[in-house]
Amino acid sequence: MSLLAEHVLLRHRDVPHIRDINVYTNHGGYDALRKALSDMRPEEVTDVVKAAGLRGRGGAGFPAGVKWSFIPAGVKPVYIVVNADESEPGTFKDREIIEANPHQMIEGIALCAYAVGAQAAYVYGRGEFKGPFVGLQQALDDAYEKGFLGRNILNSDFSFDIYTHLGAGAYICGEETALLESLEGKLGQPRNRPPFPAQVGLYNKPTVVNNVETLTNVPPIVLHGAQWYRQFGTDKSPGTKIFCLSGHVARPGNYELPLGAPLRHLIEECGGGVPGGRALKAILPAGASAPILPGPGWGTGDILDLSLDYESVQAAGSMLGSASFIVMDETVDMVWAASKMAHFFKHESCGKCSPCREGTYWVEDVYHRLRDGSGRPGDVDLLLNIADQMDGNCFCLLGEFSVCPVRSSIQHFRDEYEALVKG
Amino acid sequence: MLSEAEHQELNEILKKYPDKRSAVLPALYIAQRARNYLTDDDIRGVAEALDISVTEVQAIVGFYTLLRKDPTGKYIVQVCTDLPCALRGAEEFYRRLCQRLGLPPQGGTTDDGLFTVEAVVCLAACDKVPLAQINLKYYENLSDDRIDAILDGLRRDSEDA
Amino acid sequence: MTVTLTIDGRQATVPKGTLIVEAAKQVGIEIPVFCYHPKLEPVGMCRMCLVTVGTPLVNRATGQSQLDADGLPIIRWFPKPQTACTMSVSEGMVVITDSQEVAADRKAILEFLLTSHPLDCPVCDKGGECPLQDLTYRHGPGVSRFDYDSKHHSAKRYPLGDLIVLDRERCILCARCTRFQSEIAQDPVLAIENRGRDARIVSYSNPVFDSHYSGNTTDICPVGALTSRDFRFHARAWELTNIPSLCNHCGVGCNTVLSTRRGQIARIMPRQNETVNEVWICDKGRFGHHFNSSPYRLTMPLIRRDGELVEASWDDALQHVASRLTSIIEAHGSDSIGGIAGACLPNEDLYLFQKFLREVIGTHNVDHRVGLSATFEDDTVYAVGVGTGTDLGRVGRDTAFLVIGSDLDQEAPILYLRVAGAARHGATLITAGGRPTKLDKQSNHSLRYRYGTATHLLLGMIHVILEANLTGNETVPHRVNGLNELRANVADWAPERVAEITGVPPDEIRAAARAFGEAKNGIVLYGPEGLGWGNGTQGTSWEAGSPLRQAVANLVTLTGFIGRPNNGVIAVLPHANSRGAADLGVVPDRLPGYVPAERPGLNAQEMLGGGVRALLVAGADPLAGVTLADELEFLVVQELFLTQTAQQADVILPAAALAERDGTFTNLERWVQRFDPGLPVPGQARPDWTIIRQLAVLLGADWAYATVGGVLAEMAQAIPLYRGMSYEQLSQPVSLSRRMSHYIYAGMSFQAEMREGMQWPALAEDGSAKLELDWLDPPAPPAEGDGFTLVAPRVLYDGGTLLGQAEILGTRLVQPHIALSSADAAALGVLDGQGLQVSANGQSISLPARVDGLVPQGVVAIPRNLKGAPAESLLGEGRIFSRVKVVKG
Ligand SMILES: Cc1cc2nc3c(=O)[nH]c(=O)nc-3n(C[C@H](O)[C@H](O)[C@H](O)COP(=O)(O)O)c2cc1C
Ligand code: SF4
Ligand code: FES
Repeated sequence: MSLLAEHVLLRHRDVPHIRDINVYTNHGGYDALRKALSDMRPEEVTDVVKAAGLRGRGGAGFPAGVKWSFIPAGVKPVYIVVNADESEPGTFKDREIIEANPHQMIEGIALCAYAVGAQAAYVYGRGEFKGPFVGLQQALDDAYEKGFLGRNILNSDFSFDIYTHLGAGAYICGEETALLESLEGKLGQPRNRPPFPAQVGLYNKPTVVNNVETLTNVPPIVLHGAQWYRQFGTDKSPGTKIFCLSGHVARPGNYELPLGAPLRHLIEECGGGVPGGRALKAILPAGASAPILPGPGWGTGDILDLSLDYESVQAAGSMLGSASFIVMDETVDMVWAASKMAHFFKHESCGKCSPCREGTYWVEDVYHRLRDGSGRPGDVDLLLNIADQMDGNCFCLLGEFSVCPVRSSIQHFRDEYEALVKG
Repeated sequence: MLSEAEHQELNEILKKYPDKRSAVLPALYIAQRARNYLTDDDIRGVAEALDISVTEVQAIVGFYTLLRKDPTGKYIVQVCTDLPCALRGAEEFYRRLCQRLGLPPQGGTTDDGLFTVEAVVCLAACDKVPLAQINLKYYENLSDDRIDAILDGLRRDSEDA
Repeated sequence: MTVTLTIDGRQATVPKGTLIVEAAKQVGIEIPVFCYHPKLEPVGMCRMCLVTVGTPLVNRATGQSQLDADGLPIIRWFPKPQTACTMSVSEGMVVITDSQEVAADRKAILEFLLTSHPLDCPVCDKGGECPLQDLTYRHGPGVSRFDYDSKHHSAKRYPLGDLIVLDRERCILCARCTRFQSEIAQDPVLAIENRGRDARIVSYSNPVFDSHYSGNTTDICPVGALTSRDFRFHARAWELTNIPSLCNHCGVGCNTVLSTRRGQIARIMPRQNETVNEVWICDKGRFGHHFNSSPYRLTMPLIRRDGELVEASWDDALQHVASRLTSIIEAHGSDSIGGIAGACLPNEDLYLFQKFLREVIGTHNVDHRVGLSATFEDDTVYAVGVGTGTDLGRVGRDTAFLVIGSDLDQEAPILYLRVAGAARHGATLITAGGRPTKLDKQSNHSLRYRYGTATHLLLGMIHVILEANLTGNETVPHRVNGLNELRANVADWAPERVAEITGVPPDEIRAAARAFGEAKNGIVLYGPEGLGWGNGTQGTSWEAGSPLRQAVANLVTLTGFIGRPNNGVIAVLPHANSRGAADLGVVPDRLPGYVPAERPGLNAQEMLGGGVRALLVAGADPLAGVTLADELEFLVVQELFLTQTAQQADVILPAAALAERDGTFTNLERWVQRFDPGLPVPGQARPDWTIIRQLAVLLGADWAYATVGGVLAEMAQAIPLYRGMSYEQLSQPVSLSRRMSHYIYAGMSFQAEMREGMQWPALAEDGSAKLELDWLDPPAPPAEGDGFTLVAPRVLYDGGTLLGQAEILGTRLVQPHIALSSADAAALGVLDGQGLQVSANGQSISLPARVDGLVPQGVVAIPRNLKGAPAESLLGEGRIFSRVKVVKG
């Protein structure tokens, strides 16, 4: 079912109980940290991550090693913030890592800390991860007890702490600067960039912000090397990636595949295809935050041939983002689907900037009347026009993302909108 | 207001951060624990404990959905009806649940004050639909019968208590 | 370092770090903004200022810009429009603000903002001076495509406390108000609650919107969301006449605009003056003007006949005064006459007042030190006041402040903003006081001394500075006398010994002294709560304060923090013209300009105690709670109101208020500033200076002053400190270019006239002047033992004659009470609000207790200048603290 002989990230699927620290260490756990502390200089850790071409799994796909190398030398303390906010609709991969394979993430965090000279890390989880974070705290306690965290880790002169922190229900806190504000005890609203967190981050100190999955990739890279890692994936999108599959498939769930695997494999082999023999109408490759891609009968060409890497999905007119694939079959009313996402963005707009605050509200208002039968001529163009007025003008990407479902659903399914306006 | 024990708990948490203000969400969670919502007094207590203005803490409470100022049921039942879940029948599941509990279709609090039911956006469990969080605990792959049994269990627990 | 960039084809050369919006302003291009305000940290929230920005493509290897085929730099455009309010300029940057794209973005943002904004301009107070209205006309869409019925509806008249009203529908969530409160006022009592479209401005403080600076938010709110309760619905902006004036409530000298309508003040707003008040005023200044139009104003001269005060003509009243004075002089000599003038009178009036007594009557019996002024006397600033050109708004990292014995937030609010602002910009702040004050939150070192030991603390600091050799090596050896003697004297005052007396740990003394001594610039602000211990045996309290003033002078002198801008001393004196009163010799032992009088006259207490037979009082209430001395035969009072002093007068002469006349004040930093008349005089009231002039003429003097300007011209001739000052100069508007660079985005329908005052130089600025490091023994530290220390701090919202008439401030006025720590309250067994009895010197009073976290143990505080003057009645005139007994009851 999988294109991988063994999982790189979802190792619990091959090694039961790997969340137990003893099982983890029996299977090579913390060897990468041991190797780094005894044989590698901090820069070498960054270099191997760079050479592996690991790209951020939180959505933007920025090369992790490059980000680490932005941390200025000589400014202390340095912080790491692990983004476990995971609030994008259709995304549930970080939670599985935290629940089932936490030590690999913890080891990844420690490696990152060693590479950038950080003193402390905060794992920021969405408030709803209260339960999963109980287990994470247990894993952290175990790691402290075994000397993988805390003072003089593995008898080196490297000391480092990891703390957990829970948000309280706000999608925007996944945006890295809003996350930092929230962690500092303020409203979770995004900051201006530049300066970027690598220069001025948590408590105004240099800070690496990385996604859970990104950091979970680091131990195998350090242990086996960049070359080994690059056997998976494509040249520009190396490695494996967890794809969150939801919606109209027989077997929704997380599937780890090498980047560049075909969408067909994900949906048909892994997900068991669209149930009931119904046609695939559309997919959302990155939750609500990227354009909809139409299924074979609605768009040109066969979407199922799409190669699942950052470049190809972008070339197809969308984004891989956090790889949360929401599948919709032929029964789905696309105006309804778009209005669900419009509601999501209106609900989650932080209110800081006017185009997002007012625009998402206005868009939902138009959807309301379309859906309750009082759509007016011109409403479809009005939606497009509001989207144009928001596009490029918002403070952060939340507002920019919010126009994606509106525009792409109109682009591919305009007739469904027009039917509501006329009727 | 925070009790003595809660103050101590908060003091432990404060050790994690170089700046007291960072503990505002943890402190509010502590203050909210007893009732599932925050009174103005609770908020003032947190503000004083962390040396932040009451107004700022109030604003924070208003910003985050998991912090509440309105009285709620003993159990907050949050059902995800966001797009991925809705594609797998979550909206109908939610509507039926409300109906069985005698609540209007958009949810609300049961007359006995035991359950506050609400539809929420994505909970990061879209592969285990229908699902709910009850007081932030995951209940997944639900059916009507399963959630009824779970709610019955909670009802019994609170009667016993 | 400057940077050159191109904006719409115009070249601008501006300092590095300048924001695009400011650079554009300098070449005459206005980029529309809502959330941006030059005084606040940029946030880039409203997106109104979006522009297209490109930067030259730079060859990494050479560092040179890459050129195209035509030899022009290749510009790399940002893919999205950028906010001009957050982006700093860079070399070669190209900015476009006049394209169709930018116009479309502006229209888009305005359309978004208007989807949530009501169309109630015709009834909105901001109408006519509203940035949203203006920018909508200029850049906005003609019609709204948003459904009117879908607009959100929320509270239209939501009271944010007693002073400010919020219209939530109008708010565009620019966060100017909340940022002002947390960044500038340091009172984070406003915030945006909820998120998305539900976001709204709230205040949960008690009282709501608890800040001395709340009114400023109504000025900077770019829509009609925040309005003052005072001005709401009273007038339309275009019906107002706007007069440049000054605030008369404290010594800061904030520049104001009186907006009048039909002979009444409709509102008071700040007038920009970067070196004094920037663009702010406090709420006392804004809302405390209602006394002007009070029905209780005196409008006719009154003469006491058969024990009754009856109306008289000016001629009769003045003749009566002149003949009584003449006969008393003939019978008892000139020194049987005396005069007390209040330090809220303008310079010209004070000058003529003392000149009248000294030259027309022939006595030095003149003083201003009564009431709040009785707390301290200041000539320190004459020698070592802050250098001319000092601008607290622009100091930062290399400057250290020592604020000792002053609660700036209460005593001089805008000075508080500026010192707190300097700390925010990196200045080192040391606060020293007997109790914590609001400024402590911003301070790097806060030292808590026992009341009465401020001088000892300073000696300890001087000890450390001399020991560590942190003296100003350039200036000190050449200019200063007495260094060795001082060194010998402070040798005894090591921090360990000082710690025992003051209660401040020796390490803290050391650290603070070093932080002060090591700075490049140093400024000391001292206030009434540092002054000497008035135990009733040490003469007047201002004499008791001398050792402290000397220690302050010594501290800045030996560190070399003198004679330069942003160095020296500011005395936090109580009244609008306390500085002028000291400058102009309204004291018995000094002539104008700090020239010693050969034969000092009687001071206020001596005059009041029976030292004179006739007393002239102008703008002061020295007989509040005091009965006339038997010796006093004749009392003349020039006043606005029938004060307790006036009630005992033989003749009352009705005076004009500040708003009704012109004149000058000298502020705490020695800026002489002019104000213009804005209101008609009520009834027959006259400016004080004309009353004095007429009396002088009746007594035979050939005083021909025709205008206030003429009096100032004479002062400029006669007093070296005021040399070169002229009325014309003082009303000169600041140059157009400075006005441009200062232009503040606020909703004002008018260009308020910005004026720069003139500042007199302190003695230390004369490089040839020698400075003396005199030694005065510190006062004996207060005895410990039974009882409490009673302190009488000054509060902003006091119960004085003027403020008492501002109904709007009613609930904020401080009611008489005794504040004490919770520990002492527990020990005494009193709860908040229960009665406490305080007694000293055979007097006792009972007041409700207020348990207050800011009062240290062993101290009780009763604010000064409250209704009924309870603190003064216990302490006697002018004392700040004393030992008292406190019991329940
Ligand atoms: C609105 C918004 C929400 C986001 N939510 C998440 C999230 O839940 N988890 C996450 O890892 N990154 C999220 N991101 C991306 C982060 O801003 C950031 O790019 C990421 O944490 C960096 O980590 P990475 O480089 O390892 O991907 C979000 C971004 C935006 C604009
Ligand atoms: S009340 Fe005025 S200043 Fe405050 S956020 Fe609203 S529009 Fe801005
Ligand atoms: S975003 Fe620049 S003025 Fe508001």
